[in-house]
Amino acid sequence: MRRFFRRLNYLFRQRQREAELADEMEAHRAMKEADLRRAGVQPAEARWESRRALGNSALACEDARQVWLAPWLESVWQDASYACRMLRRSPTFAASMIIVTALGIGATLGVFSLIVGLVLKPLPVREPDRLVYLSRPSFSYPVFTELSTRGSHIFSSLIAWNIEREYVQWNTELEPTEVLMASGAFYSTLGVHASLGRTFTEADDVIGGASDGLVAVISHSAWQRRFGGDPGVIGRTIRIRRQPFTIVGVAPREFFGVAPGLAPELTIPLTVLERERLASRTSSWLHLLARLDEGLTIPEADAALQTVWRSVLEVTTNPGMPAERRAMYLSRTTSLQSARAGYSRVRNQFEEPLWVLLALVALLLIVATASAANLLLARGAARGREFAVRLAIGAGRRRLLRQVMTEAFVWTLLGALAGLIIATWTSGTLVNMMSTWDNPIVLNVVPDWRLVVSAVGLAMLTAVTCAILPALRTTHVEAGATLKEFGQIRGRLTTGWSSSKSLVTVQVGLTVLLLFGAALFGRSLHTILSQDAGFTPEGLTVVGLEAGEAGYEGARLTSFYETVLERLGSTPGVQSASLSKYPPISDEDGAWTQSIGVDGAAVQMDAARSVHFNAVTPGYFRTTGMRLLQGRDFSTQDRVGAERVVIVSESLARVFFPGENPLGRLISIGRSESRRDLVIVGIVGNSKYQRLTEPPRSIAYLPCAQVQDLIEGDELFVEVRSTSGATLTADTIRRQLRALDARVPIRIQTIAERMRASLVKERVITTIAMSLGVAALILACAGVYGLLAYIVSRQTDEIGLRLALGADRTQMLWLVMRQSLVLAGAGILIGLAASLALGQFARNLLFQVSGTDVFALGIAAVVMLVVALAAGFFPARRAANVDPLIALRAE
Amino acid sequence: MGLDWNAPVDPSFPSFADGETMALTNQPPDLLPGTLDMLILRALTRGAMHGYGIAERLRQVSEDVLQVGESSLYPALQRLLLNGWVKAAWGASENNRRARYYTLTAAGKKRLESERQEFQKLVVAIQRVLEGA
Repeated sequence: MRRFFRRLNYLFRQRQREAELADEMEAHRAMKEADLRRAGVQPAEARWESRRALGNSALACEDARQVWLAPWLESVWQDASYACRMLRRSPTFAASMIIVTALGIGATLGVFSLIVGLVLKPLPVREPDRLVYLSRPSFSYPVFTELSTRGSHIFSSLIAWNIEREYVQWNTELEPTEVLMASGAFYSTLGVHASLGRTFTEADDVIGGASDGLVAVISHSAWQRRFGGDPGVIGRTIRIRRQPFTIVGVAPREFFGVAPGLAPELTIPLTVLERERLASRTSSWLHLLARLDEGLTIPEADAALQTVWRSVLEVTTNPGMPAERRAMYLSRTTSLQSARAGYSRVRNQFEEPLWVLLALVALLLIVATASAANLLLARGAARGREFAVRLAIGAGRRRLLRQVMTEAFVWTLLGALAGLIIATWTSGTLVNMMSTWDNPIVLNVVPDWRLVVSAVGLAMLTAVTCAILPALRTTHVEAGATLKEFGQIRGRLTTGWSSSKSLVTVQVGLTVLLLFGAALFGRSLHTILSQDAGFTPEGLTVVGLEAGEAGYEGARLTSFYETVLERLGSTPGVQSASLSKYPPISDEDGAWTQSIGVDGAAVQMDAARSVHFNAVTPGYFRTTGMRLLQGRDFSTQDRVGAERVVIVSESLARVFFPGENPLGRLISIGRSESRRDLVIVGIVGNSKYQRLTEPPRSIAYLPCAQVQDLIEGDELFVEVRSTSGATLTADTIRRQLRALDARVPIRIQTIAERMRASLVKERVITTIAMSLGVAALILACAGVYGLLAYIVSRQTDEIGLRLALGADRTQMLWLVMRQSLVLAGAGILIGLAASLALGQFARNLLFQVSGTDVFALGIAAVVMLVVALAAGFFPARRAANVDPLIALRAE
Repeated sequence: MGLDWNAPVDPSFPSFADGETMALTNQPPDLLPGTLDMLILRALTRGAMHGYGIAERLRQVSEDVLQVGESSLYPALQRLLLNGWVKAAWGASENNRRARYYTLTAAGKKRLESERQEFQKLVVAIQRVLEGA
């Protein structure tokens, strides 16, 4: 409202305005005096008369000020400055309030800002609400081109993209870099313009490049980090897969692509690198994003898509596809989803845990609010006299209420500001925890104005919530009675319920709930980690090699890998080494699944009969520590031209050959001409293939030598087992490999690191849940202690009386401990009930642990009980040590 | 009834004239703040005026009946400023003194009209009661 702004204006220039008013009134008086003199009145007379006519100018100034500063504004300002003064006078109280609020608000804001950045924030592009993505995650290139033409009445523009890790030669060394490959219309569809140079267009998206050759656009942060913001970066050449790319532009600062959580440093046109993949109709490797045509809503566009989708699929099926496979292909459905906030794997992975985390953190906020309320209550009781006096001299109850609320708001606001710091730290730590080497997460969590506004809003909410009860209680003081008897607030030691007690009980209950959550996730993680992985993780290191990058192929490739194995195998400290297509716990490195046929029967496309495959060298099982149960390992005899062999896992044997001996039997993969029959020559124990949390899988191992055509050109993994007792460092391995060929990119990880990285989601949520549990426990402990200490201090005279009348000290101890027990007991009951009710929501995130795990419930209850009793013990001891003489003397 | 300007008055004694009792300061008829606002707005329809000018005008036109303490003018003017019914600007007065001139705004004109109508209704109602009831 305009009036409000005029008031603000006045507030800022208050002194000047008041001086002006005084001037004005003085001018008025002078004019009156002049008039009087002109009318013949004596000068002295005129002056007095004019002053009299003007009346009470001081009152006028006062009234004028009242017009501008609405009374409430002024008193709020008064209250606020009083609160600030109190900060200095009672620093411990202020510090407690601020810390408690900062903890609650900061943690909540931290998680919330992460959710905003990852899930909610719209992309920094033109009109993000008009963007949609196709929900089936990936499509082939032919589908993309077909849909571009057929869907032109739905989409004004369609783009395809994918982010892959490539080895890029920025300067001289090959570095793994996240590269975004996008079709030519990428930047124009999003409406993004380069901040330097130009972005690429459809003209550049042709095989071999256009007039500028192969072009690339780098991200703003890459420009700053790698080139120091040098404008001369335009025109520089970098190499990807040994092909030269010219940098033609730098993206704007806030643009990171379309996948929140990922920030590829380089963007190149789609068609320039992946020639084979472009033609393939079976390789689904592209994500599709589109801008809707004008006037279409998403449901309308979705309906329109469904009408053309079938024909798109029909046109893009592989002509040689068998009927069954074709039917399956044609039955793939897709739909349109809003891409306002982009599309990313990171979000899919972390969205659910983040919401759960937000719920947990909100609980912590409530606990913190309860603590704050208790602090205010205690404080309010101490100020009873002050309020009684003010009530007696005529302050309205509402005025006092407003004061308490304003003071509370000042403290919570300060707490919220401190909480912003905690929030930044929290979200930064969370992002770090969620990032792994394989999947670095880049998210900008610098607080922006939205965060500050939420902080202030939360502060207000917290202030109102925590202050309302104490405010009502405190100002409901019987002025007369209190003034007379202050200091002797009557109430018995074993008094019944009070609001303080309710608050502490609520705190205890919520803490139990958080502890339960922590125990649940902790147990789940422990269960995962204590599983038998099927191999021996200790002393095992995995080296990823991409010899293809350095130009090896065919026979040279094979001999290179053979040399690597020899070299590593003979390195001191190495017990054995082997090679495989997929390392143990492949996680993000993928999986190879195929259906098999048994004993010459045709291969059935059946999900239940789908088997995981891996290609390994002889010695793989020995190196990884897997158990060979029957038959034999691969040997050098198993090579091209010899009988095709396969080694299967225990569960494959059980599923496909129940009750029989599978040795010597056949399984087959591939259909028609590409079919291969394999003889089972060995059975190994079950082991985890991709993740520790997967169900038992049927796995079949093929010898590398016999399937080179299937695995050539991909990254291969070398497993290295160190001799027991020897510490094999990554550097040793790196040195050996560099000596062989320094151009080949390698990455080295111990199995333990791989396992940790594959469990990042679980670890993050467990760590957070435990931190929250501990934080809540501290708050609850302080709450119980504070309350009991307060009660005891108020009742020292009663205690003294009882002791003087012959009560036992132990009885006094018990009297207080009983309070503690009752508080804790009630709170624990509430907490257990809440845990039972809410535990089921975490089901999806738990591994082999039910949402109502009794063990976790027990732990939560016991820990809370012990802590509460310990907290109550000290006030109890003080009660027992009261000297009746001193206590009664004060009466 | 105003003070007699032509005769000197001793400030320490209440003066009596013509048998009428007068207090040290005149007791003007009770004027609601809203009414005062309306009168000021009306006074300003003739053009911009400074505070003293408004006070004099009101006194003259009402033939000395309405004599608000001149200082109560200023809180009223501030109220009008707050609500955006008048604008204020510093200027030079008749004797080259610095004075603040107030002008009616469009919103102020509208306000004057509506207040006038309200007041009219009130007056009619009071009269009806006095005559009829």
